Parts: sequence; structure tokens; C-alpha cells
Amino acid sequence: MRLNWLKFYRYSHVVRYQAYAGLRNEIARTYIGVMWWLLEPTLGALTLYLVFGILLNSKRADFLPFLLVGTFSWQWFAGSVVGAANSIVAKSSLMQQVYLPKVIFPVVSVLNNTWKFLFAFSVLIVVVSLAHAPPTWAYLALPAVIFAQFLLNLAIGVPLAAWIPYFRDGSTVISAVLMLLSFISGIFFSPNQVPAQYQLAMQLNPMTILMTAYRDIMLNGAWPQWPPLLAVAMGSLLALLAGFVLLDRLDLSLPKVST
Amino acid sequence: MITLQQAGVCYRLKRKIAGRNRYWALNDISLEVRKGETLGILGSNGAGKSTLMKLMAGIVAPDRGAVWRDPDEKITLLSLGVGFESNLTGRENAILSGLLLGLHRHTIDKRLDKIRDFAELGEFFEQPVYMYSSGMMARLGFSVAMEVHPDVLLLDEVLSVGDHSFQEKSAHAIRGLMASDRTVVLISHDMKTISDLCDRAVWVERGVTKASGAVEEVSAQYLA
Repeated sequence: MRLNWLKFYRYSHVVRYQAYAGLRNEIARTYIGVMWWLLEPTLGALTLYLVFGILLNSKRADFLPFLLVGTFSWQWFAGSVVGAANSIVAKSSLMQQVYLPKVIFPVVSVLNNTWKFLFAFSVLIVVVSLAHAPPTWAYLALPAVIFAQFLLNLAIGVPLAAWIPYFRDGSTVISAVLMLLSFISGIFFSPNQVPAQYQLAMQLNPMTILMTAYRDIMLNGAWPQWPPLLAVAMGSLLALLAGFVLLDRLDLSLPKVST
Repeated sequence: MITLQQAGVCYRLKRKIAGRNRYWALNDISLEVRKGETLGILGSNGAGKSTLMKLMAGIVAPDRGAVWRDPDEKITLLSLGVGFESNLTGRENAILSGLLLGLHRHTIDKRLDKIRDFAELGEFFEQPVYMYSSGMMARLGFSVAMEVHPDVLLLDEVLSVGDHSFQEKSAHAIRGLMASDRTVVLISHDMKTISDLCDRAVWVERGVTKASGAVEEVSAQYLA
């Protein structure tokens, strides 16, 4: 199977403008627009703080920044996966009118979520460095962690985008799985708080690896563990490549399904 | 430019029709589009004309038979208002739609003023399109489409839009596009449109080519 990379390159303008149009459209739909990108994950973190920090009285001193870092990265992941999974179905009328490489749709969706995350996360970095711990040299590793998560988001989102048109009910399945993952990935606890026999399983969860890396850098001023990060990036790259090939194969069949 | 040999297209359905969840919109289509000609596709509603256009435009692949499309030619199905987003301005939608129809970004930027003027939108060009009347929307979509100059133009009944005066203007613009030595494939169920504009015609019914050849011959069979 030979992928036509030149074809994807030719459509880069379309991808960029589609991403811009999607964000513009989203901002225009609400009154406070961009502020929601920051507010939505913050409200999620505050909810968890209320439950686990106050009602269940967690003993972590840095619990609020701990939750914020976890929630921001989780919402980027969950938003990208849900958005990408439904992206082809959402654009099915467009797909009937013009030829577009179908991989464009999940990629645009992940890019949109990435802009939102980067906006919110930059604010979070400022807040955490002012209120919790000043930046250290370890911050230099942050772009690498973000890039690894970007690859992971695409690696999960692109194959799901190819699946949902054939099985619409899959959206509900995805929501349920994401709900489960949000509880076990360690947004509100760290891997060393769970019983020893479950720790290995947690260490295999790529989102746990990524959240641990963000927290090592931002909360502890420490360099992240490189081997697991590298494993996440390489595994994601392979899955992403498989997703590209799959969507390329289905390229001219998908318009016949999603009607 | 385009050759179809006994091509068929099958849709997968959620609900079964006559006990099957596959529906062959096209069964057995053979035709040839020659350089520089205007080919008319005739057929009643549900004959498979639009699926045929998608097949020729390279939007769907055939499930049987063969389709050959000249890889060196730009073959475009002209659709109005492709990809319009209601919260974006006329200008932004013109760019979006133009990109989707295969124009280069810098080409669109150069022609934006022309698009605004042709669509007669004036100040509204900078307003979000949810404020537009349906006529304004159609004019904008049409004006963008007129800037797309493909080698092979596939037209699915988009000959005129808007109010009376714009209808004349748009019909004139379309004829201008077709009059050059451009290759055009035109769908219509209106016999007169086909006989006025086309060199040759193909009659499609229930996904099968019933006849093809000179317009008079095919229309005689179609009407018989």
C-alpha cells in the first residue's frame, strides 16, 4: 500500500483553513467564546477538587495544581478522540460534494482541540509557576511531552474516525470507555497511591504516563521519565500510520456509507 | 477524458430495501466523455444521475466495472455553497468554499473582490452568512463556483439561481463557461436544456445506460 504523501501536502491549505473556520465558528456561537477553552477544563478540575479535595479530604498539599494539570491534558485527549471519531460522519454532506482525503477530517478535529488546549495550558503554566512552583530547566521537556500527546490523540482519533461511519453506535461506546478511562488514568490520584498489584497496569496506560510527565515537570521541577514517553510516541506513530493507511483505503468507499 | 465501462455503484444501507442492505444506484453504465464536448445526461428522478456525477468526479469508487479518469485533467463537480459555515463571513466562506473546490489560496485572494461584486453582496460580504437571505447565499455560492475553472466541468442542474435578474446573469455566466472549448458534462431532466446546450447525450434509467449518441436520437428515444 503506497500512501500518496504529496496528496496530503496539497491539501494542507484546506486543513489549515478548515481548522480556522471550525474555531471561528465555535467562538462565534457563544458569548465568551475563547474563555470557554480555559473555563471548561478549569470547572472540571474544580469539581474534582470539591469531591476529592474537600469532601473526601485528600492530603496532598499540591492537590489543586495536580488536578488542573491532569484535567487539562485529559480534556485535550477526550475532546480530540470524541471530535475525531465523529468527524467523518459530521462532514458527510461535504464528502458527497467534493473529493477530500478523508484523513483531513479527524486531523482538523484534533488540531482544533490542540489550539484550545495550547491556549488554556499556557494560562495554566503561568498560574502554576506564579502560585505553586517557579519554572525550572525541566520545562524544556514540556514541548516533547505535548508532542507525544498530540501523536497519541491522532493515533486514537484517526482509526476511530474510520470506524464510526460503519458503526454509528460506536460513539456511545467511545463515551463509555472514555468515562472509565477518566477514572482509572489518574486525573485525581497518582499511580503510587494504588495497590501494588495494579501499579504495573497503570504504568501501561499512555495517558497516565503523559500526566505523570506533565506533573514531574510542572509540579516537581523534575525531568520526566524518557523511556515510557518515547514508547508512547513510537507506539502512537505506528498506530497513526496504520490509521492513515486504513482511511486511505476506505477513501472512496466512505461516501457510500455515511448517508 | 473520462471513460466508464459497465460501471456500477452500490450503497450500503442501514434499513433494508426489498430484503437487502445493499442498493445498486448504478448497475451498468458505459459512456465516454470526449475532450471539448458538452455531454448531456438525461434521466428521470432516481435514475442514478447524481451518483453518476460522483463517480465521474472521483468522489466514489465503482463497485464493479471500470472507471478511467484522465489523471492530468482537473475534473470538478460544481456544487454551490460547499462547506459554508453559518457563523463565518461571506469573505471567509468564499475562501473556504474556493479551497474545497480546488482553487489555490492565492488565486482566491486575488479574486475575492470579483466574487463580492458578481454576487452583488456589497457590505454584506463582511457579515456572517446566517444574516443572508437564501438568495444572497445562492448568489455567493454561485459566484465562488464561477471562479473554479476546471478542465472538465460536471454540472448537476445549477444553471441559474437567485432572483430574475441574477438568473439571467448566472445563466449567461454558465453559458460563457461552457462556450469555450471546455469539456462539460451536464445533468438535467429537462429535454430543452440538453438539446440547447449539448453536443451529445446519454440517457440513464435505473442505473443503466439506455441510449447514447447525438442529442436528437437520444431525445427521440427518451421521449418515446
